[in-house]
Amino acid sequence: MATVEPTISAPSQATPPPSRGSQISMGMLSMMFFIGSEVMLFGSLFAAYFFVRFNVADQWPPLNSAGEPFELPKIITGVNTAILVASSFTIHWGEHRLKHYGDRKGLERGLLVTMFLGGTFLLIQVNEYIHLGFTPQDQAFGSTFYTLTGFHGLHVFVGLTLLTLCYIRVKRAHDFTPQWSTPLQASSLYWHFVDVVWVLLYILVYLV
Amino acid sequence: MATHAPTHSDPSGHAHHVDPRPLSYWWKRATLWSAGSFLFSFGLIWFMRTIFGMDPLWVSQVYVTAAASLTSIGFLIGIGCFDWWWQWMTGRRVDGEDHSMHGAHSWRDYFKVNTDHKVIGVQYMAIVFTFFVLAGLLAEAVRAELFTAGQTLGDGETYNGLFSVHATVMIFLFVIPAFAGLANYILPIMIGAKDMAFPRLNALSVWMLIPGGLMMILSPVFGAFSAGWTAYVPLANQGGTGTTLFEVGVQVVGASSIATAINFLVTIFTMRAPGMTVWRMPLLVWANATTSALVVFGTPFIAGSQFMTLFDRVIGTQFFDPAGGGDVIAYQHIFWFYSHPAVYIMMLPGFGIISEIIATFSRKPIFGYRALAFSTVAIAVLGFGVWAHHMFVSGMAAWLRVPMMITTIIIAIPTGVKIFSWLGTMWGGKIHLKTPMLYAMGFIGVFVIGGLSGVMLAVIPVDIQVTDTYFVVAHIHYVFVGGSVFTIFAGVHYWFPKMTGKMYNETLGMISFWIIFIGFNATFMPMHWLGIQGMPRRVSAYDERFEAVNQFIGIASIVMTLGFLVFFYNMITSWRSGPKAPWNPWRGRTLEWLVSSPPSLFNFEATPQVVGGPYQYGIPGARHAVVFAPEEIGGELTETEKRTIVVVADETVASAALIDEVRHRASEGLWRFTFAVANEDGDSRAADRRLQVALSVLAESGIDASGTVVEGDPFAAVAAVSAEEDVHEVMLATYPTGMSAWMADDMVDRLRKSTGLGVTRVVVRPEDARAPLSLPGVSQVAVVADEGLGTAGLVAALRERADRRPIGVILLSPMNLTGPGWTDEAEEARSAAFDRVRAAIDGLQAVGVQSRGEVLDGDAAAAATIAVTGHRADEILVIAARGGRLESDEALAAVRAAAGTVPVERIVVDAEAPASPSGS
Amino acid sequence: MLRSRHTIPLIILTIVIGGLTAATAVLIDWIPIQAAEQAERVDSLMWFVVWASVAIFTLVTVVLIYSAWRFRAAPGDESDGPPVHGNTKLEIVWTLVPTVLLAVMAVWAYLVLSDNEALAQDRLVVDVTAEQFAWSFAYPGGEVGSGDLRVPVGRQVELRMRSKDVIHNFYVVEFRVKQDVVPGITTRVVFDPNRVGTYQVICAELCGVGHAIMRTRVVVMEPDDYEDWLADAETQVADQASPAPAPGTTEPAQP
Repeated sequence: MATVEPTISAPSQATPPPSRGSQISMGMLSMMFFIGSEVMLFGSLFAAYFFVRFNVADQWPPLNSAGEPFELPKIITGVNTAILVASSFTIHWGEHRLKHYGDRKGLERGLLVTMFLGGTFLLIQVNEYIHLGFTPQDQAFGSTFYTLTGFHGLHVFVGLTLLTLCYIRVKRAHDFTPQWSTPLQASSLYWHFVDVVWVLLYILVYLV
Repeated sequence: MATHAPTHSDPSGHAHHVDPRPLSYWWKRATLWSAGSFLFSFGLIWFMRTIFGMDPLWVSQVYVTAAASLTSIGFLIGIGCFDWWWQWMTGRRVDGEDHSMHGAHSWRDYFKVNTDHKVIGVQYMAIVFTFFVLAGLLAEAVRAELFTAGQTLGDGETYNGLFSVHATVMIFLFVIPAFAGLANYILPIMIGAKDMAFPRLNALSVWMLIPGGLMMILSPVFGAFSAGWTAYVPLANQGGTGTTLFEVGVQVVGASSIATAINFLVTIFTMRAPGMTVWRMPLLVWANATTSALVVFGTPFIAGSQFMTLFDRVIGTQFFDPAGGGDVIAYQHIFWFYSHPAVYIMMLPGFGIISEIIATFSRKPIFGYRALAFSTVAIAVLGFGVWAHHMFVSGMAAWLRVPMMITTIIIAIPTGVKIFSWLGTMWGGKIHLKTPMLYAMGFIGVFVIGGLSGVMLAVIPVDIQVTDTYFVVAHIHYVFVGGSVFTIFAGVHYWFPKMTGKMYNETLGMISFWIIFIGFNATFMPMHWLGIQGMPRRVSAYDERFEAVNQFIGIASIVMTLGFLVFFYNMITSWRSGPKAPWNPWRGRTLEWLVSSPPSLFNFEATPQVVGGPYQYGIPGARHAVVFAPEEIGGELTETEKRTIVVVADETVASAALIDEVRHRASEGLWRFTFAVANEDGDSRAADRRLQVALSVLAESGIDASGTVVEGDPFAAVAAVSAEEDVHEVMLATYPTGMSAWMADDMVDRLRKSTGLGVTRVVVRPEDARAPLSLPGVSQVAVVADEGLGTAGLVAALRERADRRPIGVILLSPMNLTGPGWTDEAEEARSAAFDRVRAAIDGLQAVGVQSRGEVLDGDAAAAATIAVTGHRADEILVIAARGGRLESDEALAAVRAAAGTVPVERIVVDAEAPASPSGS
Repeated sequence: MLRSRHTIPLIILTIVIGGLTAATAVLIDWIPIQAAEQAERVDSLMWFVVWASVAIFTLVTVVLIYSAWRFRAAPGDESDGPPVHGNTKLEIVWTLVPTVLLAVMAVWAYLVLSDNEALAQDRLVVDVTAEQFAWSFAYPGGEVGSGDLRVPVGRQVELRMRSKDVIHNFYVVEFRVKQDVVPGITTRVVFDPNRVGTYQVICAELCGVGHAIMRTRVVVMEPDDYEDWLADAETQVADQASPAPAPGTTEPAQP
């Protein structure tokens, strides 16, 4: 080969490379923005909570109609929190099995366990609601508590729905291609978000 | 009335189905679903209240809330927004490329769910302007009441409802969705995309405006919400059904807004045409990206505030009830945390539109492009930190006021930078005072006044004096009409030709502008005085001394209304019967001007390539983008000439892998191909034969390709072609790394460096390079030969044929086995036959004829049958060795009989002379 | 940037537009009567902001109108303007100058605010109750109440305001004071009346059907007149609590 290559003149407008943005997964990006808006929604509810607690209330928890401070079931909710956090790990495990070992059965198992844990979380929450001893109408304390936890419960329900749909599609395996992973990844991201919100909620509302 | 130019070849290759169902089907469905959901909601609440033993059973607002929410969802289901997703979710087979709901072929398609962003854009504009008229009428009713100092029409409650609904509809159903609609139409084209990222979600967004908007505009029927669009508690809690409809309506419209914003963000991030870096994006794209981020992160706060106030009112929670430990002012904090960014949501897209218009009509690049881009982002970010400037007198924590004043004052700086940059763009340019430019200039003048009164309001002591008075009414209308309405109107005029394919009437445009401009200033300028003098806002009765000014304002507002009427008249008559619009009436440079007016179904024939900034006026030869456009569009800024890719290959030139790659690139519509076979140490005639095969196949596919054989290495090949024509990209076909001499020499990188062009490498496996192409354009020749294989005669015969036309050869060697095929003799015969076939393939390869071979157990006739049925041969050549089995006439007859209509020829060759591998 | 052929027309335009704008500011009677010390401070600050606004508005409008006239493309001229992308020095100037102006405004505003809200030791504290759709005022001692606000001139007044129902707003134009009255909390406002007279008290926060007519008045009186009025009012209250004995009865009622 010649050691000196001729320089060939060419128009300066060579084919541009595809933009780096086009390499991002559209489904994941949209889920991230959606979660951003959900974070802000919970932000507004937390804002109301902080106003009520730090701007108005003389003591926290405030006194209920019987003159006693409101009580929250910290222990059982702590266990429930652990259940929900565990469910994040199980779905991550399921995704891991699929991605690195091609183990579809592992994904199915992970999804099932996650859904089971999530469902348990919801049932325990509903049970707590029945036994709390105060209603949303019981002062701003009750209002903020029920709205925060209630909206969270709704989001858990939506998350469970997403996971169920994922599970159905895994079983039917219509289009088990690499592109398929986006709905799964998006749903699991949503689930993790729901989990993180709960941990924050538990710390800020129940514990602190 | 079709709204897109006829599609040329649909490059995606999908047949364009049309939705077979008539319009009435969809609306019947929508009505049934709406009515059903309405009834269902009542039933559901009654049922739940019964089982939970809630007392009383009938709490009207709970039912109203449920009915409003569920009926909205029912309507959306009925009109078809969720159909495709439902089918996908329930596991039915759906076609992701089903375009039956895409594009408008008649006016009916605008009244259905449609996934085409252009249709959705028009739907948005029709909806928002309807609400604009309704909200404007409400404003005129307000002015009618204020014509006299006392209470005249109706009662105070009615009046409070008038301005509340006016503001709400203008904000949520005009300004915000108008910008969404304009951007919906224009932005995907502007970034070179075929549609938005999520077209079905896009359709859902626009249809959500119907139930949301109806709730808000119909609320007067039920007792309008009358606490202002700000709906402060506790006053809002005294409201009834109308207030509930407002609170639910905000959620629906807010959700629509958030969905659209996510759509825009993903579209802008991931679907820009190749070469469109963020610094080559038009400023409208910057503006919409920033605004969409504001919507995504801000709107949930108003959703939250309306949830809480709804719960307070309907189910008795105590978020904002001081008796229950609630915080009244918290509502205002949460509300304004969105509602201040909301005003930037209503302004930033307008700023983007103005940037486009001023550059185009001044024929100059944008002055300070980066400053404008950064200031857009700065305004959005800072905009989250100023909300409490609406609350200086609210009784909130006193320490918060001064920091909020400082952040508010800081926002004035990027805003000022923008104004000055636009002036800088105009200065020294070649200004064309068309209607869009008039609105743009009117915007600058009016918005500066609004901005300056805003600075006054930022200064706390002055704000204390004039807040909650007509000074604020003046300020907000100066920024809304100046910042939003004028920019919307500017954009509508600017893109009217693109969207409708017709030109609007320029004279009427100018007349409408001036009447609106004069009427607007006459209406709202005196309000500054009223405010400073102490006329509070939101009042139906006021001091006698203000009556004359109010009457003047009332008359001026009628003048402004007349201007709007001229505008509507212009729009409607021009759309119906205006002159046909060219593709680029304003000689703009951004991508939407490089397609037809209106654009074709999927906007672009092939993905455009962005090669420069969008505002390079004044630089001869500068290009923003290369767009392959059909002849009838043409023009100085589009390319109708295809650009050339030089394809460099050696023995790989006639391989399926390379042909596939060339076809794939050709489908983009932009390219033509010049092949340069770099013949380094082979036979150039052989190389040429291969080249002809490749060219023939491509010609058969309608691809523009030509080529030569060049003696030398790939550099010589590229140089030879570049000497003759402009080359834009190099495609290099090589064997896999490890087998390729070129790759061992680092050919790709060296070519890149020396040509400065993009180099694509196509990997061709050796077997693929030797296999004959069985594609249209290549004549398939089946050779039936026995001992004739491996002779020079066979090679010569096929070489001659290859010189006449491109051929691909299949060698069939019939062994004429009479006994079982697994005996030792049979094995020997077979392996000998294989050797001969291999030798023949090598010999043919050396002369540039690609072939493959098969050894058959049967006889020549069987071989002929296989040739015809299995290999679809175009002709059969019987190469008979002298004295061999195939020389006999019976054999020939048998072959002819088996071949049917396929021509058969026999050539007799000398069996003794072996084929020389280096035959020419 | 400014060639000599632009300078003269720009100056002329500046004078015309600046003059018109300044005339609008000066010749129209914008400013209400000043009846409190707060008003004077606010008005000077406002005039500074107004003049800065006049300057900026004039500058923008002059350049806008001049450009539209001077750089208008001749009919049939399809050419482009010069490819100027920016001018860093100019951009720095037009970022810094407004920053300086705004900084001055911010500092001045802070000073006016602190002065306006500085509490005097000997202030008169009046309790205000707002409801849909009336005002009531209660004076120190807790006995005297009135439907309109009466204060002596020359002495600071602090209002402590509560609402019975929805948010209202106490607004007196001539004092340049305004403050929301919010249920559940007590909001405060101070003013130093320095002009005798009667001024409107306006509710400036939408509070329902009667919002437009929820008005009363504040009467600023000479100190002596104020004392007289207060004494009369206290007497009236005492009379109502224990009515004057009927003629003929000499003994006060025994418990």
